[in-house]
Amino acid sequence: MFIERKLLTEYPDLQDIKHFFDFTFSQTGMENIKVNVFFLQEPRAFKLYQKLSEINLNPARISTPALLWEQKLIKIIPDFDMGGTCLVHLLPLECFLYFFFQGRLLFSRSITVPDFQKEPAEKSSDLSLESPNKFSVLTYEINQSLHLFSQKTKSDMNKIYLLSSDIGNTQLLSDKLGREVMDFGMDVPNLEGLQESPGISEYLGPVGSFDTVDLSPSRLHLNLTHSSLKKMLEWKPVQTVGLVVGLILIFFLSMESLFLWKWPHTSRDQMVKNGSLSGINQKQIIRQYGEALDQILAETDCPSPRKVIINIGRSIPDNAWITDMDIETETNPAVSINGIVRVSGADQLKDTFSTLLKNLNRYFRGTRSLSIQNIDFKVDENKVEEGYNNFLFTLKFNLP
Amino acid sequence: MKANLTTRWIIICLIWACPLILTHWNINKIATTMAEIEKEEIFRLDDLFWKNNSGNISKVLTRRDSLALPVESIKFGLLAVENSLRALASKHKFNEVQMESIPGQTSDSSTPLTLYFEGPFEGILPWLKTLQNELPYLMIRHVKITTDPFSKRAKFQLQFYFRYTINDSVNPT
Repeated sequence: MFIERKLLTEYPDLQDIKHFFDFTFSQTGMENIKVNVFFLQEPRAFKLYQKLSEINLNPARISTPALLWEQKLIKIIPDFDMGGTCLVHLLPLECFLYFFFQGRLLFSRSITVPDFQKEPAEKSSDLSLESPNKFSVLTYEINQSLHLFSQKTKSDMNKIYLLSSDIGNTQLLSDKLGREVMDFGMDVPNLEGLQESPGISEYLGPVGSFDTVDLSPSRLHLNLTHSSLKKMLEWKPVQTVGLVVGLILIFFLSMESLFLWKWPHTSRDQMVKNGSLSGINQKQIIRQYGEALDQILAETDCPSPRKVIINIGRSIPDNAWITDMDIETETNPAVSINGIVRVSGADQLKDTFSTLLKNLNRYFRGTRSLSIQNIDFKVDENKVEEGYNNFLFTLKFNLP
Repeated sequence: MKANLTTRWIIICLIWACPLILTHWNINKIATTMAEIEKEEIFRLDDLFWKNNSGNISKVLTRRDSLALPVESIKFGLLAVENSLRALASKHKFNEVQMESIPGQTSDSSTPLTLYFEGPFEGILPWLKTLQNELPYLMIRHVKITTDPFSKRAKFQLQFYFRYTINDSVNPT
């Protein structure tokens, strides 16, 4: 947003400029982070873009030879990011000057030398021999640019390269400038087939030095095309992946749906064919059976008074009689016994109760173990026999 | 160009909506299918159970049916029960038979009863056995026995639940 506002302020006549820019960050020191903004500023470019758009030709990527050279030189000149580098690209009709500082494009110039245009190409195939004045003009322009470079960077130019179809031009330009000029084709290592071919250069101009390897991957290069198109290009891989994944998912999920739609029908049809779905009646009867079992089990869980009486009868010693018996079978099953014991002394009374308790614990398994403390007893004073005492006892315990 | 980008996003959203809809449909279908499979499995197990236990099932249902007496009305039912109990007491040489019902505690399927009688103590065991076999719709809640150790006679007080079903088409037994 800041860059857009800045561009609109700087170029108020070019409203579309906010759509045609790109930027990079560069750091020279520890804290000096710079933003380098590149944008279209020629009204012709906007008009051209508009005309192309009208016929549905939207240039997907827009760059300049200077920016392409920057990317290319980073790869092929080892100390490109140290100091200043100048590249002079001499073509039959034009000359392009590219100035880089610390591996970044500083500025570029396009020089049209009048002498070049006047002389036919067939006559001036050897510039070094026939047109030394052209180099005077070129020298002047280069010196002007070097001065501008010094002003901008506060440093001198380190290296000057010449890219030309004629090797002899390097020495000529070096003599004119009075400093070393290196031949780009000869002095740069790792360079293959970059000697200018006059025929192709005439048609391609400054981009004749680039091939598909230099231009790809295209996403690494600055792109000055329309921001919407740029956004579209940025999102295109995401959209493509989204589209493909979505379609794959649709395919698999459709298969799953088809399978799910088919499968239960087959299963049910098979069940019907086998006669296994034999009706609701059967299900109801089984449900009734379950309920009946629950009811019968609940009935069985209640203690049987008959069994309780039998077990108490088995437990009572011979010298004891029951006078009262309460059997509770419903909510809290329990037995309460009142009885009489006929004994000759305390020891026999103790033995009788021990036998009673032992038998009760034996026949009523599952009840809390009974002890002598559970029995309450007292002397029956109404019945006194010689040599014997009658004791009334009470015992209560829960049934399992 | 912006419209083009938006159109592409709309197409992608529509394409992605399809998997979401399909997933939702599949999940529902799986749930339905699982429920059907479970139901079919229950049917299958029921069928198997039926084949293996049909004899036992009828026995259990008959036993369950015997736990409630089908009667035309509660009063007819009580009359029938009283007659049965008196007959049973007489058979086991019990006398002084008296039956009480507590109408306030009557529910739709049962009513509490209290039975008093006197007789030989040893007679209570066969009496209880016969009661269990012949009158299974009487569920014993409480038994109180008071004995005279010398005469070997006893007084009995039994509390029951008389379980019944009101059925217009059935005569009381």
